[in-house]
Amino acid sequence: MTSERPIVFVVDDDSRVREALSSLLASAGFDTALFGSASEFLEADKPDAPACLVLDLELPGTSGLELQRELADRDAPPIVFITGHGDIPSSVRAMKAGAVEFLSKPFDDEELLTAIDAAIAIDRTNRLKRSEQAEVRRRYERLTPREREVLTFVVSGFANKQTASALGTSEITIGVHRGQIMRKMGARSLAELVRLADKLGIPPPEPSTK
Amino acid sequence: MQPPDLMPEGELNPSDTELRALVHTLPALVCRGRADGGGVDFVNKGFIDYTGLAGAAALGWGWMDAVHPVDRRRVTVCAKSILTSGTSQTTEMRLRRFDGTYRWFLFEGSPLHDASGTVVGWNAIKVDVDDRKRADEALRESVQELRLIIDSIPGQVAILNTSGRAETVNRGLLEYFGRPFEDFQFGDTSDHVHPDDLAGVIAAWVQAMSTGTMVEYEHRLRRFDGVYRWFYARGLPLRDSANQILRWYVLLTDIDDRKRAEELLRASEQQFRAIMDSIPGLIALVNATSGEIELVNRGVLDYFGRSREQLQQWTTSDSVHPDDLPQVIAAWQRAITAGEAPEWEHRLRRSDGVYRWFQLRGFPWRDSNNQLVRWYCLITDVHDRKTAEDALRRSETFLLEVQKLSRTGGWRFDVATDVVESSPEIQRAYKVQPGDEISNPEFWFGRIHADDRLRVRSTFERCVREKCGYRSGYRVVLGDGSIGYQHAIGRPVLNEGGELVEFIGASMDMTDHWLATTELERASQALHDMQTKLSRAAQVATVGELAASIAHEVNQPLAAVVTNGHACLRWLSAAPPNIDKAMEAAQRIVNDGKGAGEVVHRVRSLFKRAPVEEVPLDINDIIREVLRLLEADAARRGVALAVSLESDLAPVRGDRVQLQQLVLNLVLNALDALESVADRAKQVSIRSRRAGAHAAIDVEDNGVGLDNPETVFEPFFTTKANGMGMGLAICRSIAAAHNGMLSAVRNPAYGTTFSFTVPLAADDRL
Repeated sequence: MTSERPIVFVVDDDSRVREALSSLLASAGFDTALFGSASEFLEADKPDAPACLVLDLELPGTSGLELQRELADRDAPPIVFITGHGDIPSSVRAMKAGAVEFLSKPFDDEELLTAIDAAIAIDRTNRLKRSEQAEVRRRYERLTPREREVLTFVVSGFANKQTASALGTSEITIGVHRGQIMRKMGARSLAELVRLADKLGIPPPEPSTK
Repeated sequence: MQPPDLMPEGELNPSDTELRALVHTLPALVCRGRADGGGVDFVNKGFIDYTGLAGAAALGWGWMDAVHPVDRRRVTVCAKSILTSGTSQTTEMRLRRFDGTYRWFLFEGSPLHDASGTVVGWNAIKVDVDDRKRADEALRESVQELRLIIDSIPGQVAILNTSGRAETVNRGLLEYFGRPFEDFQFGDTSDHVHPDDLAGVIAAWVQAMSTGTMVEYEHRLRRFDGVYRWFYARGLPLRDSANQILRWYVLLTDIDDRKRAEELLRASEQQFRAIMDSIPGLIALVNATSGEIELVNRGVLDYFGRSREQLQQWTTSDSVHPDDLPQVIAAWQRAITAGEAPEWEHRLRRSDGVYRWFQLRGFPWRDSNNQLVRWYCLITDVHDRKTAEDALRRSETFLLEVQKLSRTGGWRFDVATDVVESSPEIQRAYKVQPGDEISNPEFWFGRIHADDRLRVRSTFERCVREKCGYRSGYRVVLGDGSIGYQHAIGRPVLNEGGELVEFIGASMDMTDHWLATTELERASQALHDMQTKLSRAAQVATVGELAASIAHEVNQPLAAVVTNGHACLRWLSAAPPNIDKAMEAAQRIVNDGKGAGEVVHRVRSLFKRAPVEEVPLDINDIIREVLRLLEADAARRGVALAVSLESDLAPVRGDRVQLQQLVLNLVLNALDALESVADRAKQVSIRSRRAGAHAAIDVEDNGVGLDNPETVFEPFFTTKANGMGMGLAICRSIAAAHNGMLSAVRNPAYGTTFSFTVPLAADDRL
């Protein structure tokens, strides 16, 4: 999936700018999808590929910053802002909210392309993280409740003996559970299991259980 | 009586012996007299037995021995008259019985005739009538006695027959009227009755006659001397066995003295009542044991609209106001049971339903045994006083409340005694403590803030001197060190002679208001500053926004041009070069470049064609308005504004907002031009003057100056780091739209002078 062809979304109300960008990006080997407004972008079906959003700050209706806010918790692609007369407060807000770059029109092609490359790289990483996490989550779902319980002890560094006494069972039983966990989670070592658990955000065992 | 008559006529006597035996056995005394007057020649056995006279002794006039000496002559005369008259004669006589007692006898003698009718003798029969006679005698005596009794009655008695005629009257009656009995028996006695009473008397009698009941009335009767006296008449009917009225017995009793006493009493009562009624209050006499009303005066009747009769069964409680009733009842009970003198105020309902306030006061009246008999209650209408009192109390409360609410106190200053009176509110406002000498004016002056004291005192003293109204506002320092603010006013009160007696005044605690005002002034100043800034910002923004919008319009195609340029280069530098794509991009560059040019053209034409609302305007006003906006800004930048406006400048024709923007921009540019100046006093001079048919306005700065003044009017020319370069271009187009000119000249020493002209309105008209 990492080999997918990336796509650049362009949201600008000025058709001349959209066309120019489309031509420039095509010359740099990017696929583009053009939108005249925030709502057009939101409503469109977007391909599942590494992407970047080139977003005009001044848009009729929903502004660029508003769209950024709206996309914040939606696994949206990283944003490169472009603006006709950008001011410092807007740029600060945009960057704080996670924008990759903030460019004033007219901008240099290298500046834009560098920003887009960076954004796509970020998106690739994000996508990978998301898919890995989804896989780990899928494996974790296969654990029994008891195995999940044991997992918290194991990844917190408890020995089988300690875990057995904490859960009121035998060391052997814990050993069996542990084997099942390793197999189901697809972990080849304890270190790998700990890394996977970290991705899932598994908390340490309840303090009351020693 | 028949047998003695038969005998002398008895010529057919069958037997003298039989007759003789019959005569002798008659239960009466019989004798026969001789015609020659020689006495009797026969007495019967009854006579002999009765008188006890021997037979021979009775004969002749011997029998007369048994006749009572007083009666002898009358009997002799009677007997002789029989002979002489030849008719029967009767008389009564007393005849002595054998035992010496006399009894009454009726002597009846009849003549004896012979066949020829010649009187030949007489017969006499004597019937014992003693018992009857005695009864008659007794009756006569009893009548006599009755008469005496009647006559001795100390009243007047009359016995009337059923037709109203007097049968008998007593002596008293005759004496009273001084008239003989016959006058009463036959005459009309109605003239004895007082004319005023006559109708009543007649009516009483008619009533009595028709019903047969007792008659009773009072009337005045005229005495013999013409004086009328009051009599009480009482008549009772006497009935026979068939219940028919036979006669009336009437007793008249002289009641004149009683009547007069009564009249006196009535007169005194009337007088008393007149006094009571004339008292301008309500009076009620209340029984001290039962609580019942015994007597009231007219005032009570009038007030309640009731008659005395209605008052008898009247429970006054329905006339007392329901709110007062419980206390009134309780108080009455105390009066009745404990003898506590009634005294209270209550509302009583007048006949028209209106309640009025009354004060009731009861005075005890005791009998000779010191026993409480009744309460004399005086009920006085105190409504007006009460309502006045209430009104006064309300008004006082109201005044105090108002003083409290309005935080206004009243004061009085007596000029002669130098004494101050003050209301509670003013004392509160001044935080007066117990022991403060509040009647001393110095106390009040002493409370005034030291900075205000002299001024207030001199004002007040002047008002006293000039007898004029006083008004002053000042701070007071209160006991706890806090500062209050008082606003005092006063009015002089003069006597008839025009001399000042006192000052009456009020003082309002304005502390809150003062604090608020101070605060408000501060806030207001801040607001004003803010407004100035905002207003200026708005004005400036108009040009700035316009420029930004123009910039955006130009920037978009410019951005597209640059991007397309890059794309074009990329397509050309690709291996192999993509000529088609490069040409497309180049074509777009051309198009977008034209677009940008159109924008600039549109901006220019926009200002050329800017619709100008032409109205007469005072250009000096416009300049002053703009300067007001920029004063603070200029001061902040350390720039002195020198203003010199020609006073009699005729109005110009133009658009107020556009001309304001023109002036504003020129002055702002001038201020900006002074930004970097440090070696001399920064100054901007603004002048207005007449220049032929135009008004000319100069804005001169002593700033850095321009090398080539004309170039500043080119669009996008700017000397400023963040400038758009559109300001002066727009300014010139505004001037042009007004048929005026905007020009710039370099000053000999420092800086630039911008001048613009606008045609004068009057010249336009010509």
